[in-house]
Amino acid sequence: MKASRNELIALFKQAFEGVGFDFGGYESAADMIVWGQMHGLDSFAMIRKRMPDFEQRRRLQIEPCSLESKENEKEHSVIDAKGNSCIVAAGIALDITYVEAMQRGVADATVLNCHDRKLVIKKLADSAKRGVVCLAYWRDDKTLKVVTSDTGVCCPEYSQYPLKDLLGGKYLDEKHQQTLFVVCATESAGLQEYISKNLPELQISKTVVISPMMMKCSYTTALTEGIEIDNDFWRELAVLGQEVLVESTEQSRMGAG
Amino acid sequence: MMKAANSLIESSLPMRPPEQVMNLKRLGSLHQSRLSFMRTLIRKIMREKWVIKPTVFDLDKHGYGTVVYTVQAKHNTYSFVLFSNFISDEERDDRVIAEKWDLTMTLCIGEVDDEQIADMKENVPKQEAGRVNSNMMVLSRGNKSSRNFEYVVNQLAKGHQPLMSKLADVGYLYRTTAAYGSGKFGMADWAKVKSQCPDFARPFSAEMFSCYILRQFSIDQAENLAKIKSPETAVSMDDSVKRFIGIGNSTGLGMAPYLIRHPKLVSQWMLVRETAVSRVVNLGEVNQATLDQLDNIMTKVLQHISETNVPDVVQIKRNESLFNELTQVQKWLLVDGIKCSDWRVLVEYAVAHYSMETQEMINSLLMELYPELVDDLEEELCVDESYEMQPEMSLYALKQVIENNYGWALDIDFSQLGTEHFFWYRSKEKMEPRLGQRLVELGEENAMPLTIARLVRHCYDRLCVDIEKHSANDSVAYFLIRESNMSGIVKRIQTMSKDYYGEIQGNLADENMLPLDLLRCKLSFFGVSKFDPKSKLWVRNTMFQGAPILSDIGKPFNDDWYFPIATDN
Repeated sequence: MKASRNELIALFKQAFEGVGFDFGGYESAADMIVWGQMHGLDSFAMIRKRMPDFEQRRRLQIEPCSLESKENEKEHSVIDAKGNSCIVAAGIALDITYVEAMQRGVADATVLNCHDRKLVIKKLADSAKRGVVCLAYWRDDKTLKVVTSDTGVCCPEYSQYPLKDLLGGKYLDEKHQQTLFVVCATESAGLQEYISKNLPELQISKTVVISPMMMKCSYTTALTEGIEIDNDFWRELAVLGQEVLVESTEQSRMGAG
Repeated sequence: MMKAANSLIESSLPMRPPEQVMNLKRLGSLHQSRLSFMRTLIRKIMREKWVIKPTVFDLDKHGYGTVVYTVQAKHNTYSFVLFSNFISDEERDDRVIAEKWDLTMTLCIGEVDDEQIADMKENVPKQEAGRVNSNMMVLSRGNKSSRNFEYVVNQLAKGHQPLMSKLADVGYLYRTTAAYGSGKFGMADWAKVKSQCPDFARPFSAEMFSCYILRQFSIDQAENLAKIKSPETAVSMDDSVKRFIGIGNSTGLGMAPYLIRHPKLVSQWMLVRETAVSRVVNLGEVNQATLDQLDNIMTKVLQHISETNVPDVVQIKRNESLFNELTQVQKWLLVDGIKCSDWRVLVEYAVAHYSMETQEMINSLLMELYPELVDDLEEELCVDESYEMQPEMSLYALKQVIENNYGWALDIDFSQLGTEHFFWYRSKEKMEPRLGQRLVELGEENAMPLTIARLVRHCYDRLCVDIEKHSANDSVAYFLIRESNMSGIVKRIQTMSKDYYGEIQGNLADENMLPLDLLRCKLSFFGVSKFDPKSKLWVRNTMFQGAPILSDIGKPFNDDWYFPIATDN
């Protein structure tokens, strides 16, 4: 079925509220997911697999994430997402790197134990609106995924590199299978310097997965024609959202207008 | 406190302060004005000479069937598709939880073919239970005002005109009970309407237009039925009677959460209105001509108020008070008006002597004198509603922002009985927004975050504790790691600190809070008249009464259809 952006955001908000997200948290999550789907990132499929995990985390009262770095290491923050989704951890990581970059020119954050990392792209787009340049990267089994965002560009660029072509770097470490790295800089030169130092291989040829223009076109099409969502997934989300509804009684009907 | 600059703020003109303008009781005293959405829509239609015609009028002898009005606006063609169905009197219900209506309708982009109409016929009558598509902008429904409808049809069938005095009591044949837009049920998102349908790129423009065409249909259907009923004797309705028929509207609690969830929009609407007030009060010349014009307008408004017959005791008192005070103002102006150097004298006199309702009525009426100072502001009613976190803000600065902009919230002593009396929630019944009493009803844990004053207070208290433990120089980003459940309210506080008028200032959980004040505020921006409260939670009113009819488009237009009055016939 096709749905509009507005109703999907409402649906996701209510579903995330239903699985225990706070005011602010469920709005941010809904925005990230619907933005991602509209920009061609297939975020619905990604998050559908994650929904049972959110429910379980609520039942077990698992802390969403924590800041691990020390006071004197603020330009290199470390956040433990504790197996949580990027929709919970990415905003924190980008906010901190932005704050520190504003003071130091460049700052980075390492987000450990983080899932659905592609969804960070929305947060990079938001950061570009704040007037900074950003980079996010992470690895999977075979590739290094890299996202860059710049001020004045409509959307971030999402590209990838085969791991076998890369020479070295901390991201290659097996312990970083579920790590997300984000970098913020007030000037392009600062970000380039970071890349030269930490990701020299990025100077070689890359495969663009989704260009800024592709993202923008995808968004325009979704806005014009509606956004496709699987009927069953829609129903699953609606069921989760039922958690925040209040039973109707004779008394409650008196409070209806 | 000085807020960030907005292109509308004209530094040379004094603006009323937020604590005065955003007071909930004052918002509940607003009246329609030149900038109300119905007024701006009608001006646009008349100025651009839209061509609106029924291209399908397939009704049976009972008035049931399908009707399509094709709309040629300045930029695009649109179709208003309406289905008229039988329902019994017992099934007719204006509440959100109703499942059947006399009329259901949609406004869509482009012309429609038979196949599309057939698909709409499957879904539009189901309303919330159906699915529509992104070519549709509005989904709406209406219920018949049975007695009035039958009266009008019978009169026309007998060859008589309906009496205006009768229409003054209930000035409509149908009531709308909802007009959904902005992407509901698969429809076009507001972002699409705004970017791809410039004819309706103003807030609620498409929704208002749907109500306007529904009003036209109600007249067309009544005339059609009268002719079927008595072909020999039936007459068409006089244009003056047609103009005096509006469209009824029932508005309930659903509108209240909207206002709280869209604070930037509300702030912008108020800024636009207040800019107009400031312009006319400070720049409008007082002379005999403008005094005479105001006197004429007031005479008309007084008649309009005297013709507003509603059963609600509180509303009757409000109308009486408004009538009496406006009469006094009119007399005062006759004697002292010419001595006024500018309209500030009148406005200050009203503030000193009369109710908020009269003060705001005067503001609305003064706008009528100076279209040249007001009408360009209608282009400023839209606003980017994105909410931006400022993670770099220091905790000290955030505390200052709260103290400066939310003093009204911090002044509330939440330990006092009654300050947390209500909670707002969504019911399992059609997700209807409802108001519950905390100590009486279950479900508080699922309250919607609409009690902004309480949320701000809680945030402020947590912030003070955090500053004690950490540092006032620490940034918001770190505070939100420690207090992650504060992100929503912090983002809102930071965003609204950039808006001149900011939040509605009232405790929405207080036992003395009147939801009708919120409804009335939004309805005044819509431009409705004849408020008829049916409880503290919902209100009937009339839309487009007095507005030009379709056959008036292209003819001279004075834009003086506000506060309509019955003329003898």
